[in-house]
Amino acid sequence: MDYELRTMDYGRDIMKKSRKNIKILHLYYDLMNLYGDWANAAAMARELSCRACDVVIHKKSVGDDLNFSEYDFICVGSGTEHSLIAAMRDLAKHKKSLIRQIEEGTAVLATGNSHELFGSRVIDRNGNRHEMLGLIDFETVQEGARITGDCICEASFLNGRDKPGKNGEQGKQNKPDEPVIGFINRAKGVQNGDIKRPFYVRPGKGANFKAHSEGIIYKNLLGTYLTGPILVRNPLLLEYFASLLTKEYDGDKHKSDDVFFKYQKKAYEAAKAALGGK
Amino acid sequence: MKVFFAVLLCKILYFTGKLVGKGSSLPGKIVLKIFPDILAGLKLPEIIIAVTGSNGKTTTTELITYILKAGGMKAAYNHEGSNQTEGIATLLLRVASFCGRVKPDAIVMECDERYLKKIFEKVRPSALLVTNLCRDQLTRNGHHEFVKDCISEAIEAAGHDMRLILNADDPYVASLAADSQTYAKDVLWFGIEGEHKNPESRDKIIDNDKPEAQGKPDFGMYDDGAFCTVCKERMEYTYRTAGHFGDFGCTLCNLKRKNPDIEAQIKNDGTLLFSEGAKLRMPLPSITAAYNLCAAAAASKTANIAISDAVKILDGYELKSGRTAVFSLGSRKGLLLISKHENSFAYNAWLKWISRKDKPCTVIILVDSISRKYYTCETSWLWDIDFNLLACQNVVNVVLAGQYVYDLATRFAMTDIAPEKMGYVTDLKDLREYVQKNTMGDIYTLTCFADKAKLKKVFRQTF
Repeated sequence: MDYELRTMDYGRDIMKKSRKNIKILHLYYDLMNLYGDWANAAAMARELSCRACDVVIHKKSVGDDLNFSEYDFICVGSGTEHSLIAAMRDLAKHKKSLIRQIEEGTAVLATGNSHELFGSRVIDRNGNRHEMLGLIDFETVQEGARITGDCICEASFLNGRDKPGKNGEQGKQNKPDEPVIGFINRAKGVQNGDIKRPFYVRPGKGANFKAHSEGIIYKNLLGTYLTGPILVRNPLLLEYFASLLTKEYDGDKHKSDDVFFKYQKKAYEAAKAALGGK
Repeated sequence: MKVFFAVLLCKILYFTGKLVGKGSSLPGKIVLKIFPDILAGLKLPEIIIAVTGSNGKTTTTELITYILKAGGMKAAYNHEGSNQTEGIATLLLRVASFCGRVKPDAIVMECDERYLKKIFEKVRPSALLVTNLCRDQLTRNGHHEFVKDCISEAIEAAGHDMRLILNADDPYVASLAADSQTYAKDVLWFGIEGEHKNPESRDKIIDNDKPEAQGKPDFGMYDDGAFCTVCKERMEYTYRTAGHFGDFGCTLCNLKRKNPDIEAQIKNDGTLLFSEGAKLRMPLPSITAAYNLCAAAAASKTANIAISDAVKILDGYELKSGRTAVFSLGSRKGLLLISKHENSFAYNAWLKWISRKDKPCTVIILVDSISRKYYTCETSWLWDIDFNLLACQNVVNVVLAGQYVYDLATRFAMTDIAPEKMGYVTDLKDLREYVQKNTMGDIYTLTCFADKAKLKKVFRQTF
């Protein structure tokens, strides 16, 4: 089933010159969309439409033909533990082409437990082993209970990045202390493997009991236990992903005119303050 | 002696608590701390009906108790809504005699889904009713498949003489019987008949999908009926009544809707017609109300009350735990629609209802605290609610308010609602004036129990 949905045309009044066509894939939209994860695809479309892009979102799921090379940005969301195994069953058919695209630098965001897909295996609460894509060398071991909670993460990969200026010029640098906020909702358990972690969770639990680090990062793939609309809740993270696709900006005018971006920043500041962030 | 003191202590704590307006779980909590095994020493009645599920627990518990009482039994239930082990302890001890005999003929206890196993360790019910399993308070509950597993474990632990009363239309609930073959034989199924047999029911159902609903659904809306909960293959429906409820069947395994023992149809005149031929007037012609009424009738059957008698008793019954309240703002009519934060099912039902009104109206969405029981600033549940339903002609103004107004604003920015219809009020003190000056038409206010009291203040009304 191919659901080619409405084109995001929020930036339709901006200059028509040299617009870039961007395709976003919302993968397993009906299997892995447990905590409003679809919002990440919508937020990317919104940001990119302010960056001289024509954006289309494709929704694909189990049994669909998948050509990953078509897409500029792929996002996959959280699911139940059973749903994750079902997603892997389907994804196994596309393993080679997905890994090739990640190696070639396609931007991928995996929220919630879906980032476990990129590890070696998942061992479920009954002790069953499920082989995963094996792109990154870690295994997830699940227990019966759950871990839930608000969290604030330090994300050093976001620090000091260049913020795109007008018409692709060099913009100002981001402050180094903007944390990522979110919520973790996952099966209790540990992740074994000595891998690079993008997030340091200050209040909140990391991927393992002892360490506070969390998530996966490899080329332009970012995975995290943070669930749901993290690109909506974190303006900086949204800009980070959008910048992977295009540095070109139509100028701040359009973004500041858009209520989404206006309130996105305010919501971020409010949540950060409520959670005790700087 | 131990029992005497425990009962005395609980009664004293309960009544003093009532005087100072404290919750009903504290007496049980204190008594259980002093006498951890006290519930095992009580002499319980034969009929104990436990009620659990995501939506409709409180209502259904109230309805069952009402039927049993009207049917001539003495019945008690945890009417204050404390539904964990401590609340159940309070309930049993406050209706017990000083020698430890629980006096009523029947106990109906609303139980938190996650605490079911713990409750069953103390009190073994004669029947367990599961209303439905939906996305509800996921910050606390994880997700509904996890909740299903918790219920499944509780059922296993309870032993074989407990009767199951299950929603035949909900695949998650239905799979509870599939999980345990020993129970499959002794399940009482209830369900609502689909529209294919009963096209006239369409217009009166407030939260049923209807093609002419004015707003288009947002493109990211979830479908929890897409895949089988047992084997995760695709599921097919011949019809749906709401959300993932309907005549489902897995394309691979044998999970499918069972023929209900108690089935009802929603009729065009707002009545509910049971397959036995008995009919009742619904307090609110909604699919949710229909399920609750049907479940209550099914549950009272396990207490030997005939369906036709239960239906007669329920006819026209007004709920104590009301979910709507009327108010006014000058000459404008207002209706408070109590929904539950972190519960898209409840929100979507009201949004669909509003979108089908003919007269121009203003919709106020208030999210000031997400839960009254715990703190979180998790707002991902807003993305599960189909706010795009409000992108319709009759909705002329939408006002967002409360502490989470900015999160609401980002969510609404992704809908097709015209920006000039939108209003944002950060300080609740300004809400009344804003609505008076900037909006028009009837006022529908959507919020949670948690924020109801704040609205009372805003509109200076007694709900």
